[in-house]
Amino acid sequence: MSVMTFFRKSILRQQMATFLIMALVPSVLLTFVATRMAMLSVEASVRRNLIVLGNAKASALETYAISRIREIELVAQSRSINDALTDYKKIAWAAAGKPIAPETLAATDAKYVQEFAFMSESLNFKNLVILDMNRQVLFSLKPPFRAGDRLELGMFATTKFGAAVEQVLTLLQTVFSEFEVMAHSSTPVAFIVSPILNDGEITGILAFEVEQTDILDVVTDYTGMGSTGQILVGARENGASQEAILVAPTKSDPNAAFKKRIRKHSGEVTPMIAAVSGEQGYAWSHDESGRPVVAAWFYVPTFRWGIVIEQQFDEAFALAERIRSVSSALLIATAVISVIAARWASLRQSRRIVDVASAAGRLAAGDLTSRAPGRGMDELAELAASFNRMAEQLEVSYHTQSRNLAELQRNSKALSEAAEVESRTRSTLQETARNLSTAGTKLVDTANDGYQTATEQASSVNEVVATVEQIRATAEQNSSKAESVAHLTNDSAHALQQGAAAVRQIIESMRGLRDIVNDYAQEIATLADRTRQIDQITSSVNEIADQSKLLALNATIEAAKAGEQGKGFAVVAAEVRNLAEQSKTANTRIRHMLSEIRKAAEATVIATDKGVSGVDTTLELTRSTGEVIDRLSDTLGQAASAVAQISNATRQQYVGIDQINQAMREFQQTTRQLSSNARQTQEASEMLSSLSADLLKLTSSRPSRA
Amino acid sequence: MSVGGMAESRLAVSLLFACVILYPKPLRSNSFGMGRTMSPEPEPIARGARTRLTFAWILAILVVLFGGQYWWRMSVKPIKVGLLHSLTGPMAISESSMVDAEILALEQLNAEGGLLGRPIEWVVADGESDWPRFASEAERLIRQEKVDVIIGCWTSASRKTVLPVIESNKHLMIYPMAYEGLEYSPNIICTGAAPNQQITPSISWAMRNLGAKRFYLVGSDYIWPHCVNEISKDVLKSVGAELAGESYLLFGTQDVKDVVAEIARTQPDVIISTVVGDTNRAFYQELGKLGIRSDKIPVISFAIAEDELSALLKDVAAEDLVGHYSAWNYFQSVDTPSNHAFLAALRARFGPKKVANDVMTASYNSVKLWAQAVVEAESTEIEAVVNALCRQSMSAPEGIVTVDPWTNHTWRPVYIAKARSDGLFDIVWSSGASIRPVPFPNSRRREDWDNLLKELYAAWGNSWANPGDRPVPTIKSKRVWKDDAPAPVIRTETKPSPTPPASPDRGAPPPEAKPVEEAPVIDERTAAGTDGKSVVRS
Repeated sequence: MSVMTFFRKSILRQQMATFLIMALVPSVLLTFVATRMAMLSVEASVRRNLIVLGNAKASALETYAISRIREIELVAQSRSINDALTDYKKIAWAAAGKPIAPETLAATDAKYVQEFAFMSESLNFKNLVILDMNRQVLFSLKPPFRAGDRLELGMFATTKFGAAVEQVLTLLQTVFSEFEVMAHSSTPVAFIVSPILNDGEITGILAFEVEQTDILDVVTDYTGMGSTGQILVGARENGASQEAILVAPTKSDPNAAFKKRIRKHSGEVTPMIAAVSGEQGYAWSHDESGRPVVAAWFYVPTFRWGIVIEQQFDEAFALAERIRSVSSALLIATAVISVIAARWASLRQSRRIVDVASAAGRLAAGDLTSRAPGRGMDELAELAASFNRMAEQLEVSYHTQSRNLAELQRNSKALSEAAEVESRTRSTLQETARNLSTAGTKLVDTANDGYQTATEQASSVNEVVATVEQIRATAEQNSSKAESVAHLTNDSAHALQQGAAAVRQIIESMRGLRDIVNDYAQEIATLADRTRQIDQITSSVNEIADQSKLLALNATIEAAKAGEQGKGFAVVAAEVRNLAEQSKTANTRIRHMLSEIRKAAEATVIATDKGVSGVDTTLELTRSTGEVIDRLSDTLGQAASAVAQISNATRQQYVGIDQINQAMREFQQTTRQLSSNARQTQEASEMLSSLSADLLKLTSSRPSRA
Repeated sequence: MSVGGMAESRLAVSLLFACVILYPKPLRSNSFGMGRTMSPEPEPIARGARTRLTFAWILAILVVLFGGQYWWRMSVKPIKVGLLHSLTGPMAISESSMVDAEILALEQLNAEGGLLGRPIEWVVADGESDWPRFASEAERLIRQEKVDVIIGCWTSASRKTVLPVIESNKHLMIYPMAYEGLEYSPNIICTGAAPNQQITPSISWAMRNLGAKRFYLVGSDYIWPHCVNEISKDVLKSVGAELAGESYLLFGTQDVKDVVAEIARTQPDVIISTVVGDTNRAFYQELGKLGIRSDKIPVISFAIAEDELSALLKDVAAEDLVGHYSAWNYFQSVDTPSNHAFLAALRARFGPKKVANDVMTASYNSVKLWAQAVVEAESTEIEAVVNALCRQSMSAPEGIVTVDPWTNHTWRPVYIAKARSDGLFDIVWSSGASIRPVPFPNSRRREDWDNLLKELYAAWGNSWANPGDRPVPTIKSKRVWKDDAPAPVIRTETKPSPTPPASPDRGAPPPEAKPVEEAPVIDERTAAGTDGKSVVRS
């Protein structure tokens, strides 16, 4: 598991492992297979070589034997041999079982020895021996045999020659005796023994002696066997199946023949033992000194010999060894190159992947400037480029967003400031309304009391107008700010959560603003109420004027009754009636003005209501905008339009306030008129007073004349 | 072949299975989308799917391995051996033991891994004890079965009909039966005895050890006994022995009275018998009846081995059989390590009562020598195998057996053994070393031998055996010894039995029930007086 984890953790390791497997597994397999096949083919050729050589040697020996056999069979049927046999048989018969005297042979020997010597030498035989069917030597070119010697007796009884003669007598065919070292010869000799046939009848036995040196050329020819090639020729000794005796010198031991014995190895095939058992084959074995050898062995039936051809393992398989070492070296070189190449290739690949991965990691960690180095024009380069494009866009949009956010923050601050101003304005407005109310009261007072009060009222209205003017300015400012907000909101089309939060704040602010405006409308309504009260007061003034007029009429009637004396009074009464008429006219004008004020106030209320509903709409839109922002950034366009509506609403608000202002101006006008009316009323009152006073004076002066 | 079929179906099933497992999931259409850079999201391999994938890989590797092995096995063509013997007809019982020995050797080779890494298959063709049938079966083995070697034949008659087929096809046949020799073919390797490995030593041994001087030659009337006896007569001549008489019995006959009477009359020292088959039963019974037992006139048979002796012991009194001799290159009682191993293997394969004999070892050796040759030649190509086979040598049950390149026969040891009452033999003489084969005895020229064969063939009406209706051929093509009086020709012919036995016989053609000429006619009576031998022609 840990190994898997080790590889899973790094693309470099994975790639390297992959590359190494791809490079090394086939190399190793190839090397193994190639080496194995080379080994097999070397082995096959070593085997073939040994078998061919061994076969050639065995065949050469057999060919030698068969040609020797053919020679002796030819000679054995020759006339001179038959003649000699007949002649010698006669001598032997004459000896009648006793040893043949040498002198009886001299004449016969002289007759044949020349020819037989020539025959023997020209055929390269060492000796020629003629025996009769009783195994008695009749003729021998050379010692140790002498005429009269009996092969089944004495020193020859146990010789291989004797055994061969026995075989010939049974098998009635030519026999090659085994080689042995005999007393007369230092080197091993063998006899080719053949029956002498005379007209189909076997009359005697002919034997040729051959020296082993004749055939040793074949055995000691090491051509094609390298420096460690060894040819062993062995025979079974007295039927012992676990042992063989060498019958020819070996390369290392010229005196091995008939001295050195080879025993059966335990646990493995012993080539020589197998060979003398008549088998032939090929195997890996060990030589006498225990060195590993490859050996092939053969059987030569004529001599009952086993031939072993062996070569030391190291030499025989030198080529295989070289192939193995060269391919091992190549494999190691391949492995080193593979490691380097795999590292280079996987590094080249993985580094680029790792670069992109680490760039992505940095980006994920917040580093928007992170970029992947893109080299080349393959898919990886494309990946890096794509990544870089993505990072670029991310960075740009992030910057835009943060800029918009800052703007939004700034704007919301401005908005909250505006709200503060609003609140201030509200209190001011309250104050103003209160003042207005007081002013209204005062107006009534003033209307009642005269010029002073009217003047005060006028100045109060002036104050109100000024305040409203201030509000209008603020609203205008708000409107323009809202416009800029709308503009900015338009800009921050991609604003995300923060924007939404800000919008939510805006909503809150808006809600506050609506409250303010509501309150404001309330105040205006109150103002209208007050105006209505003023109206009532004015109507009571009107009644007073009516009563004054009635009083004056009564006074006139009374004056008329009084006659002449009442004539003056009638004038005063007429004057009072006139004044009351004038006062009533003034009062009617005031009422008219008041109704106009009320109308204006009502219009203001309607306008304010409109503002409130606008604010509500704005609120709603903003809220939905916030939600939309919450949900999806791509609906920010709606938000922009919503903000535009905010701006509109603000503008409407501004318009409303402007209308208030307008109304206030008209109110001021009215108040001014009221003031002037009051002054006129005052003047009228003063006139009335003075009239009254005149009337009083008049009233007071009339009794004195009487 | 049936095994191959099973392996084939097994392979097919596993391949199908592998295909199902490895069948790729259907590809999503958009993976072929043109110019799309966005690849489908790689599906994470589920645990189960991964296990399945691993399993599939293992299966695929296994399929490759098994498939490779299967392919390799299929690509290794077996080496084919044709065994051409009579499985039906009178020869079946004798030849079946050859088939047994050959199969034993072939099975041993297969158990050791075959030859050249190839298994060995064998086709047993039935010659039906019918010689022309042997030729056509040989033709079939070569042409249709395309065998790499034929091992077969028992009778010389069958061999001689097969020989032209083998030679014209330049093929190879190994003939594992002792026979008369007088034949050389570059395409036939004889692993049985040549005449000098059976006949010559027997006669000289009898002379030297039994003190025999006079020999009576008796045989069945077909090519092998005639040739053997011709050779025997040359041997007798060369060693100065006398021919007491020479008689032939028609194949399968039970009527041996005249011949045995003639033997009793001539009183030879030794009877050399080449009588084959059931006739032996009557022959030994008749000898016993006349008091001719092994202590008086021993019979040296070239036709009775363990099998035959055991069969005879059922019908013939033991005392009439025990003590007679047989000459072979192998007896079951040969005491060599190789023979013990061979007998153990034989009994392990065919039961503890299985008896070995000469022809079985020769059959066994034939397979083994051929196998060695194939290994040495590294090929089954006929020429290469023949070349290698001519030099092969092995430690056979009987001793060292070597193929002689000059004659295409084998070096084998010779044993002469005495029959025992238990059906086995006591070896009384052994040649020790193996003897060089001499298929053409040098007592005559090749031409003389060839003429002899031609004459016999013609005399039997272009057959290698007396079809039953012809007289025993009088051989004219004989070597005329310069100091000879006219050669003694002694012929004794017996009537074939009216109901020839259907039982198999050694080396003889199947008997054909033919009406026999009545009224024996003495058509020749030679100067019997010179040798004191009578010649009876009936």
